[in-house]
Amino acid sequence: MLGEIGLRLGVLALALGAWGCDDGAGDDRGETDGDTDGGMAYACGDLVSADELAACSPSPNDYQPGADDSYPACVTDDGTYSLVDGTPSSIARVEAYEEVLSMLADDTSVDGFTAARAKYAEDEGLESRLQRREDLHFPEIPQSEWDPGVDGDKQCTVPTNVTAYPERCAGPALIAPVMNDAFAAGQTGEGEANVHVARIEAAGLWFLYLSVYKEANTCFTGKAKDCDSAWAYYTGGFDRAGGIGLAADIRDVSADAHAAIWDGFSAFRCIRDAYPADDTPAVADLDMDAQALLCSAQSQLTTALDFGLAQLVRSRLEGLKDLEGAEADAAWAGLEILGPVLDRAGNERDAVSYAPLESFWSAGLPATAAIDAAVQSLDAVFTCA
Amino acid sequence: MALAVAPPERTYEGPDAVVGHPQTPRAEPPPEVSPPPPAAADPEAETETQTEVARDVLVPSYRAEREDDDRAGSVVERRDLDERLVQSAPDALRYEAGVYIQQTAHGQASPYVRGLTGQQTVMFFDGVRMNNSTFRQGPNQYFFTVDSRTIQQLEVVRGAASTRYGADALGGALLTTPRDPTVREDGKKTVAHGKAILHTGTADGSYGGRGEIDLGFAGKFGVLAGVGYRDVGQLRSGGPVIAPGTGEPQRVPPAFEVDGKTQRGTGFRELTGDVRAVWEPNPRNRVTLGYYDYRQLDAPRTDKCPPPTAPRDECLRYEEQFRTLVYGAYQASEGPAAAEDVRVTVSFQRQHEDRVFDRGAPSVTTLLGVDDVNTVGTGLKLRTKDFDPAPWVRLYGVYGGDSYLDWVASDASLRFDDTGISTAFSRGQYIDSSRYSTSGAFAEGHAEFVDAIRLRSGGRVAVAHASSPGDVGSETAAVDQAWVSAVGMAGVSVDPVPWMSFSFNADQGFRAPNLDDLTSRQQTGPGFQFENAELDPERALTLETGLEIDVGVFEFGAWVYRTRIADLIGRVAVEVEDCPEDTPQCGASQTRFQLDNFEGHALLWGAEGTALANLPLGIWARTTLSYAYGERPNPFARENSSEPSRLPMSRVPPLNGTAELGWRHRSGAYAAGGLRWARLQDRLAPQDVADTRIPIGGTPGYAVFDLRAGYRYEPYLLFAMVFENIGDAPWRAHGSSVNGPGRSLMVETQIGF
Repeated sequence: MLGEIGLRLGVLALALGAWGCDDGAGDDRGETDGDTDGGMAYACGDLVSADELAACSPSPNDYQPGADDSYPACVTDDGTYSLVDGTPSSIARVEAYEEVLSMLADDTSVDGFTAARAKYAEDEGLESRLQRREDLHFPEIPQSEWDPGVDGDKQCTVPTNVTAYPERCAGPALIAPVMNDAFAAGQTGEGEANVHVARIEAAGLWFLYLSVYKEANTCFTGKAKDCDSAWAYYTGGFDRAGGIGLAADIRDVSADAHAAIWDGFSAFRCIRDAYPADDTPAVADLDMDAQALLCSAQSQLTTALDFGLAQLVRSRLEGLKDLEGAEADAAWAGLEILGPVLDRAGNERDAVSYAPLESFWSAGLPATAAIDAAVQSLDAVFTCA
Repeated sequence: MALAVAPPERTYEGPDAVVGHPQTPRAEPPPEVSPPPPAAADPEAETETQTEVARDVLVPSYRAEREDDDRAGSVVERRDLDERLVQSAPDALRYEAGVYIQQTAHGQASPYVRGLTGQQTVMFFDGVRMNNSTFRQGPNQYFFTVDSRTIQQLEVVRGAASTRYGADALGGALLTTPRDPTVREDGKKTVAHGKAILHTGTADGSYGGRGEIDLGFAGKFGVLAGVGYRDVGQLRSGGPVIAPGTGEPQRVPPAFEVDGKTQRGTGFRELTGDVRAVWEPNPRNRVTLGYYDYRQLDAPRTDKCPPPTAPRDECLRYEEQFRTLVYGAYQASEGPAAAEDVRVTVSFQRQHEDRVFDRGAPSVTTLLGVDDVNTVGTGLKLRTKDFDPAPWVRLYGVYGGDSYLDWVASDASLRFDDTGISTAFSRGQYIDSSRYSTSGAFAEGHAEFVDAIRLRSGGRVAVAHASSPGDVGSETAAVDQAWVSAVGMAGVSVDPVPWMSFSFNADQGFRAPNLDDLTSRQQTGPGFQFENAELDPERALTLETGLEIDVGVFEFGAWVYRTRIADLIGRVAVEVEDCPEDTPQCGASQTRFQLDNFEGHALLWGAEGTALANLPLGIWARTTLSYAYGERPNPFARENSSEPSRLPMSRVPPLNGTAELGWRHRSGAYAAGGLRWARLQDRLAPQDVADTRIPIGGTPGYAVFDLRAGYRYEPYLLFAMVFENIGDAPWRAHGSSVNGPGRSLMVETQIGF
């Protein structure tokens, strides 16, 4: 009931533009693009009630393939993903991420890092998208700050905006520097190689996590094939039973989270299928029910992704307790990157319970007791997908 | 290859002076050229020639000394270049019918001739073929590497013409004739002239100039040498154009500075040097040695500086775009009947490209690529004497052969600027150590009856050979292929009255796949393109008919044409699964293309017209009109019945034209106004839709007004001004990344002695 109310409120806000709903995902016809940049997602508000989270039950508005939900019949109802277009180019970037890690698993010499970085920096490759990735969870850059010569969804290509709005411009402001520093340190033989590898791995996961959300959000307001990119960034091009990159890691620690994320991006694909639109649709073109579904899908995917990432972090924290020395340093280096990614979701869900974690990530390698406390906080905040 | 002509004995009018200019005290009538014009047999020929000279003084003429008057074409002369203050060799063609200038960058431009450009048109410099085997699909920047200040005359031959000009002449040929030194002057033993040129422009803040010296010795030897420099800043436009599909301003590309008009990714520097030595031991023999060096530095590619979705400081720059041409030519006349006129050329040309692709912050990655193409070439062209088997018949032949051989060096690497570490890729844009040769032999027969009917026919046999070692690392296939082609031409012209001529021509063109088609992998405007080692040659047939009228005060030419291209090589969209192994940038690109021969035929048809009126009081008016329509087969139509069977050809120019009204005074003062316009082009090929250079919905039409004025006092002074785009209109030539200049002023001063 609360969810339904929230949903309707969200739609009302969307209709009134109270949260700056914008369909201006913009043009992305460049040959250098495998997926759209930035993108201005519609803001629908928090549609998942605390009660529902606590009960760990699907929101009544969640898309559940094949179930009797509020969605019309659509192409994803059989639980598989059906491509809008040809094989998305995003798969190549997930594969590149895996290959970078594979190369570094085999060789952490100076040359090994150089070879892995070359893979990372390939033309149209991982770096090209990572350094432009926006975090659509955060508010858009105010229009007054826009570079007038740049489309609204590409404002994070403007250096001053990157500096002023690092959370929104997470790719260039936060993730890319981590990658650059880790690779450079590995290439020059500074520090502990495995620490650099862990940071690269974590930064890559951060990018994939943001990318799934971003592509799903722009697959209605931008290009339909962004739906495919959301699927690709999560799975690397595999079905539910498989997956590389983020899907592999999350499935390993939580089958529920994995399933919920699948359902989440499938919800967007379902809407795109059920409400065919031209190449540049607008949210306002949808009727109220469809707009409600769009907001519901956004909420569903956000919740699922956050939960999945939390489960991954939780698992790694647990694993940290069994590690010592250089191995522990490396594992913690990765957590120092991934942990704070949960800050936004944690505070949105339960700021009080999450509060101890905000300082935890920057407090250095924790003792077992501190880890246990952190896990406890995570469990309190991220109860389910 | 330029037609072999007897070397004219010129008097000094400045190396680039207008023939017969009234301010030239030493002026003489121009020499008769070979082949003689139809009017030469007229008892009043001398009078007519003088009339022609007088008219040349006053007006531009699109019918000046063309290679073949019976083909569709036009000529731009030195005087036009000076007065229009052209910024490059392609820029010199903006007012020519059937030609449309596309610009991917401020320092790059590619002329479309009858809807085709790049590797589908052929360029010559003083008879030396400029095309090499790395000329890519679509527009390229190489005609920009001809220093416009070295040009005496620029001729456009429209339509397929491979019999005369060899491979690549599908859309037409661009023939550059360089300026000559003064070998002799009024019987003086020694001639020495110098010139200093200073130029500046407000649209791009450019400044530069050229210094040159023109020396003649003993009436037999002359040298013209010059050096030039130009520094070009960011180009200010009239603002963004409005995308027809959205009604909104088209943003990147180009990216604008905060003023909303100055375009990022523009500007460059340019250094030129040339030496041309001519030795004429007697009136029948002439030896020419030429050295032409063009060095463009730090030239950004506008559509990549930045691409639409990239950081603002991402940029692909051509740090070095060089072309060096060294050649020798021997020219003889009054030889035996079978070879009355002979011209032999031996040339070496080096094209050097050094690309730097800076990813922009926060990336510290830079992609580097260097390509060198060395070409050795030779050409032989002969003309028989005129045979007159009857008083009403004149026969002659033109024949010859040519051969060019390319060596390609290519590498690419990645540099991490924070560590200074670089890593090389297994291959560059091309495959290192690839070779390519193109050669052929041709013959044409010409017959003229009663000074009114001219027949011509001929053919060429051509051979091309490509060899590339391939590359294991990128799984690029080795290539070792040869193609033999035969093409022909025929035409008839009828002059019902001396001032009117009807012509009909059928001329074939061909283009064998080159190393770019067979081996290159690159990001192009619409997406990632990779090679196809199994391509067949393209073949074209142009049918054209035209009417030309020249009554002294009025000149008119109108042509309609139809060019049918079989086995057109084009980009076919492919899926990620079709990408070559170990080429992740292919799979990672949003759109991917492989070159392939389209089954069926492509078709280009259109019309061009030029009219010129020479009015009293030195007033003249000229207008041109061009239209082209192109379509090609859709390779996916067979698999999918919902697909259209035919698609538009890519980047075919819209309906466009020019209009000029000018005035010339015998004092040397002149003034003119010019209008360049184009209609909306919204017939887009699928790759055009994916091409960020073309606004959503097509390229909007435009109308740009220019005013120019100046004063010429040969050889001492030329002062020229152009007030460009006085309406400050935002405009863009179809397919360009860069918008044309906004309201601006260009000024040039030439001081000589």
